[in-house]
Amino acid sequence: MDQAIAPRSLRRFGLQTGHFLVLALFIIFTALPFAWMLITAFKQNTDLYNPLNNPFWFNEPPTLDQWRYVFTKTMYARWLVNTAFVGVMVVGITLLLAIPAGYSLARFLGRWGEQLGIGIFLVYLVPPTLLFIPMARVVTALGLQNTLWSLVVTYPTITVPFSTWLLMGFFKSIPRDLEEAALVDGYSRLGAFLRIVLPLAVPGIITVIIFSFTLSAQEFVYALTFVTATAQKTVSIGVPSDMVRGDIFDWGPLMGSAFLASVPVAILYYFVLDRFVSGFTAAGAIR
Amino acid sequence: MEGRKEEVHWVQVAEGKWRRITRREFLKIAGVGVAAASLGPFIFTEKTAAQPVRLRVLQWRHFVPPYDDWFDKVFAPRWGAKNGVQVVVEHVGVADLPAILAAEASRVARGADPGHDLIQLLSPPAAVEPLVDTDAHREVIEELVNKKVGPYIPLARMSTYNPVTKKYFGVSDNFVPDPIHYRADLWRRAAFRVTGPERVPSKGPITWEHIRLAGRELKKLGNPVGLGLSQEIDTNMFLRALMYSWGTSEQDEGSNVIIDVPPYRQRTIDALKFVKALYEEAMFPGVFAWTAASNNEEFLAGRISIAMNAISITRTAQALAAEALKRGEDPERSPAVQLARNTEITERAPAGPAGARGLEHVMGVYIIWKTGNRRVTEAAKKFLIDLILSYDPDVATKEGWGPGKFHASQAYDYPTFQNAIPKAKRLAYLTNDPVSKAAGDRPDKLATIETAYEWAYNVGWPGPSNAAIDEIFNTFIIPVMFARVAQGIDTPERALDSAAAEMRRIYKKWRDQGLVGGRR
Repeated sequence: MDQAIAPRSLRRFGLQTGHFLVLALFIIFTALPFAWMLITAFKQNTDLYNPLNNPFWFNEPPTLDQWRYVFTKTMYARWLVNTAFVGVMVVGITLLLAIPAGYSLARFLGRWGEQLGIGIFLVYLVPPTLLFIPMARVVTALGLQNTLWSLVVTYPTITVPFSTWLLMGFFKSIPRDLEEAALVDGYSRLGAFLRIVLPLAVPGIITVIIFSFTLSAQEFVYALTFVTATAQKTVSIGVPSDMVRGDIFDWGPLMGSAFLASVPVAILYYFVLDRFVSGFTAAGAIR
Repeated sequence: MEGRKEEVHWVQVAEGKWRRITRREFLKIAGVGVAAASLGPFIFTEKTAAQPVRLRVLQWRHFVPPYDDWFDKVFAPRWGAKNGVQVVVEHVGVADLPAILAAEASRVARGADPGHDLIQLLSPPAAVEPLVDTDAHREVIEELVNKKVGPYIPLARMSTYNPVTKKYFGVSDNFVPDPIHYRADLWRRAAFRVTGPERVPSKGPITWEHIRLAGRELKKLGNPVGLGLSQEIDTNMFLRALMYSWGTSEQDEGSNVIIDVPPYRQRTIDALKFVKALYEEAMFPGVFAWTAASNNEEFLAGRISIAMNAISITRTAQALAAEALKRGEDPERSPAVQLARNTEITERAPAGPAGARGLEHVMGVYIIWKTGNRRVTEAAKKFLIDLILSYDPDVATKEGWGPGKFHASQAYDYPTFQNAIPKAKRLAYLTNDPVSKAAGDRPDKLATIETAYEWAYNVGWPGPSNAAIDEIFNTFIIPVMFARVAQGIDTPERALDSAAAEMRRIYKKWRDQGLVGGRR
């Protein structure tokens, strides 16, 4: 008996070790860049430029100079606020347009709905690097040049098509029977949608929120061409344009500001990760 | 059920005429009125003649931080107050300028507001000539020459004047010399190791051949030569400087493609072979992944021994040394101070078989958009003229413009109107350079950049920096040609033929638009 147990527990031990090893490698792979960013943000410049120094630890005493630069020599705090403002507005507009559009395509247009959904998704594939020149004219015509509103108006052109397509698939996966039962019970179409369909679509909606917010926070080309006033910049454009001087990169401030900007997004992901994953995977699983 | 009695109000609808309205109507009218009153000023912003002129300036975030401080906080506001102009200055990264230029050009083409009135670019923007105010540019240049701060040096004229249309598509306010930087301590060791009939001077390279010979030893010492062979600005400059020193070029004076035409063909092939040898003997594979920041970072990290760049390498080394001295490090033992002291620049561009020809590292060129707004254009012209006059520290002091452009840029911006700051004043600064002194470095270290007037040529030399040259530059045809040969992917002949065919296609496109001369 003992002889039979020994290989089994050895196998379990091996499996667990392998499991932890893979997990450890994955954690190092994903967390190392952030750790490196954080360490670099506290290093002195002379420490950074010495190739004999260990890049992953302090070879000279840590300093707050890089952070002082970020918060006193640049408008970083303002850029964070701008980014949050644009992100929230874009999320709002995207939800307002994509939820009804996705639901309509899923429920009312039959086979045409699918074709239209694919058509809308194809719009998402047109790269902003091609669109920024005509879009610059639209922004000027609207009188929104050099304002955050130019981004609030243009980012939904990227987020709405993808979100509509995503939500369309999600709404399709919700059985019609549930809605029909609600209609029989006396709900209006809107009532059934709000009380029955929408709560079931929460993972999809969270996916749209995260997608729209992170896209707004990281988009570059539109932000670069529509906004040049330093006080109106978002993080994605303020950091590279104000912390790179010609061919000199201010690595300490760059790393510090990049790290700080990624913290809120990381927290957001942490709290809604399960629902976010199910938003991508559960479409079709609600039965 | 009895309906609720509605409260009524009386409103005047015309003189002597009153009407009774319900409470609901009253609230609607009041609401609309309040909204209109609050939003009106933001929606209806009609400009009147009494409003001050607003001049919107866009320029790169300067390599020297105190320059931006001076420009934004001293020159622009004081100039604006004196001239009754509201000056708004915005900065972007140098790499971001082309995208913004493209977006603003599309607005000007449509007759819309471009977003800025005056833009400083760092390379000659020949392609936007139809959209800029060429008359205004010419008037600025003529006025500055009349004020006796000229001559407008040939490098600047070749970078801003189109001989086909006889128009100035920009006004250059400065150029930045592009010398070779080398580590003096390592160079001496390498020079000592080069033996036989081929010798190299211990005081630094004079020719490209010196760089190859010493580079061989430098690579053995673990500090190879770092000259890019990738698709980025420094590679573009290095390879053109080398080609021009070999007596070949993309075009001739008349904008005919000559790179593959005898006798230039053989010279180009010789240059290609030299770079292949230079790479194999003295460089390392990292040069194929070079970026605009690589030469600075690799040099300052002590990995490479030779780079070609603006004086930003020296200045950054000095900034690190000054930091170390502030911390109380012993200058004789501080690695940062020693690096600064051992960072030297060559007196001239390295020579090839046909001469010692280098380039500008960047070419500061301002453009004024053609918007038809005379008041703004006049303000832009005056601003530009006074900015260039502010090079002279005495003029700047007299006008209340602080230290002036030359001192504020720490000699990074070199004047294209050669007497905007007279030579004696340039040398007075460079031989007693306060930045070098603060770093514990030789105070006259950078004095030799003055010679750049003799060896710095424009991109496209001996022809003008036209729209075809600009496109060839931005599509990296020359770096690709050299890199393919250096990597052994193509023979020199095949790489040259392929590049020349591509260049002719580009020339044809711009000739068809009437912006580029030549026939071949």
